[in-house]
Amino acid sequence: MISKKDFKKINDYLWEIPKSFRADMRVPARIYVSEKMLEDVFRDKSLYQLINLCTLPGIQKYGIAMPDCHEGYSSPIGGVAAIRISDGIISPGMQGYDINCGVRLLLSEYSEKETKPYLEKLATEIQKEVPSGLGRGRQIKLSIEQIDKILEGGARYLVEKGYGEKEDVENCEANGRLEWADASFVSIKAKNRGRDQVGTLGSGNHFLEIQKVEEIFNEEVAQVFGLFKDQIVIMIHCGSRGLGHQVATDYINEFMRLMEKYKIRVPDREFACVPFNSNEGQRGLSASASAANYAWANRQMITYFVRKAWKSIFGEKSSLQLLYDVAHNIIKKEKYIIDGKETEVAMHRKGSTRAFPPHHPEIPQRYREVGQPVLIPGSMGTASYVLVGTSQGEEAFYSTTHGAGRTMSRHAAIRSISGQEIIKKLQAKGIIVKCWSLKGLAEEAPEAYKNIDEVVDVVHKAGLSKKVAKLIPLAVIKGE
Amino acid sequence: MKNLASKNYEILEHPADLKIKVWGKNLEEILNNILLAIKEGTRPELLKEEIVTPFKIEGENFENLIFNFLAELVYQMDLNDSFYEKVKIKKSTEKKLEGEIFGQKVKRFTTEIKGVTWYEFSFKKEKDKFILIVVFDV
Repeated sequence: MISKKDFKKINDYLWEIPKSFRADMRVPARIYVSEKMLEDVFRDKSLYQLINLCTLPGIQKYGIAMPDCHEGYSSPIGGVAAIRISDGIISPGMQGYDINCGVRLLLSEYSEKETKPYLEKLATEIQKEVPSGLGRGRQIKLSIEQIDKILEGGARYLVEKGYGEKEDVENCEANGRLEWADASFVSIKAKNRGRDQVGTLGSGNHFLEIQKVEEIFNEEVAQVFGLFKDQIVIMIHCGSRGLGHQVATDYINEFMRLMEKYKIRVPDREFACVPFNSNEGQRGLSASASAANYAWANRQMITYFVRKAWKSIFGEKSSLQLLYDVAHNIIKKEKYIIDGKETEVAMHRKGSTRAFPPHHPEIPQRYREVGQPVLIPGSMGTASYVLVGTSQGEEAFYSTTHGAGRTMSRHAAIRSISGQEIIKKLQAKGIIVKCWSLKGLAEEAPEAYKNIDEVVDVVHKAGLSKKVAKLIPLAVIKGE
Repeated sequence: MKNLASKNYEILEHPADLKIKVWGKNLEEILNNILLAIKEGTRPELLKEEIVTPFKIEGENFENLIFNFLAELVYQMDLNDSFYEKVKIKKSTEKKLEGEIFGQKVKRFTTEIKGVTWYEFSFKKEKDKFILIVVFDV
C-alpha cells in the first residue's frame, strides 16, 4: 500500500516517491498535486501505475503524473514519460488508444451580448452540421487513397483542399502534421475504420462547446492570444476515432510478441514496447504519427463544419479564428538538456498537454514572445481554461494537465444521476444542451470529475503553465 | 425483471474505463456472456436490421486467442455500426477459433469502446468454469 509517508514533499504542489521505493524503478516518481488532492490519488491504482511507468527502459529524470491523474491502463491518465531515444523504448500503450485526442479553440469577434439572441439557433445548427459519429456521421466515405493522404498530410492536407485557412495550419501543434508519418505502416483494418469518420466527434467525454471568456488573468498574454472579456469562443475536443484505436491495438499486440526478442520486461503487459530505434519501433512511430495526423484532420474538418454553421447565422463576413490546437495523447520527438547534454527523447504524453515556453522555436511566431497557448477543457458544464507555457515547465518536460480527471466510474455516475437531471442542472445555469442521447450524459456528470478550478490552480501555482483566461460554457453539444 | 443471480458477468469499478468479470462453463458460453456484459457497458440503441459476421481468429495460446477475439469484435462493431448479441463457434482449438457473430445495426452506442487492453487481463479455468477479467478503453 502506498501512503503519504512514502512521499517526499518537494514543495506545496509537488511530491516525490524516491527510486528506492521499488527495486525496478529507474527514476523517482513525481506527482503535481496539492496536499488536499494527494489524498484523492490514493483512491485508485494511479500511483501504482505511475511507479510502473518509472520502470520503462530509457526513462529520464522522473516519471510524472499531473493533478488530473487517475487510473487508466499501463500509465495513469495524466502520465508523462520522457524516454531517451538512443537506448530507450517506444510504448503505444503509454500513449493510449485515442491517439492525438486533443483540443482546439476557435475565437469569434463577438461578445456574449451580441450573440445571445442567436445562441440556441447556433447550437442547433452546429449539432446539425457536425456529425456525432454513427448514422449521420457516415455520409461521406473516403477512398483508401484519400485516407492515405490524410494520414501523411494531416490538417495541412485538408486546408490545401479548401477546408480551412492557412492560419489554421500555423496555429496547430506540429502545424497539424507529423512529418515522420507513413501510411504504409497503418493496417488496412485501421484505414477502413477511418474511411467514414473524418469530421466526427465520437462519444464519451468528447464535445463541442460554445463558451464565453468569463475572466482574464493575464491581460498582456490574452491580448496576444486575441482573447477579451465576454468574447464568444468555441472549443472542440476529440481524437483519431476508430482509426487511431486500431493503430494502437495493432502495435500493442505486435510489440507484446516482440518483448521476448528484445528481452524487455515491464510490470504491466499494456506497456508493450520495443527499442525506439528498432525497425519495429520506427514503424510503430510512423503509424502513430499517421493516426495523430488523422486526428488533426478530424478536428480541422469539424472546424469547417462549425464555421459553416457560424456563417449561416452571423453571415459570410463573420469569422472564427483558430487560437491553437493541442494534442494530449501523443508520442513525439523532443530535445531537452539532461545532465548538461542535449538529449533527444520520445515524449510519451497520456492525458497531458504540451506547454512550450516563450521563444520556443516550435510555437507560432505570433505567440513566440509569450509562450504556447495551452487549452484545458473542463468536464461538462464546468469551466475550461486557456493557459500559457512557461520556462519553469521544463522540469516536467514542458507538460501540463489535460483536463479535470475522473474520480467516479461511469457506472457509478449512471447510478447516482440521470441524464434528465443533468440537463435540468445545466439549464438552471443557463447552459443550452444539445445531445442525441440522454443516456450518455449521466456518465459525463460534472460530479464524476475532479474540480477543474483546483486542478488548474495546481499547474498554475507549480509554474508548469500560467492562467490566461477562464471560459464558461453557454452551450454544450455532445457527440453520441 | 431479470434475476440478478442468473447474471454471468459483473461490471467492476474503474474510474474511467469498462472493466468486466465474466464467467461461463465452456468457451461458447463465456463468449456469449462477454457480449451481455459489453451490452450493459456500452448501452447500444439497436435498429431492426440484422447482421451476421463470420470470424477466424488465431492466437499463440488460449489467452491470446480470447484477447484477439475481443479485438476483432471491437473492430467489427465499429466497422459495421453493429452490436453483436450472439456467438456461434464452428471450430475451436487452443490456437484457432472460427465461427459467426450475430447482431443488429445500431443507431448509436452510448459508450464507444476504443480498444481491449492487457491491463489486468486474466483468462483462466477454475474447477468447472472459465473466468475472464478485462478492461476496455472507452
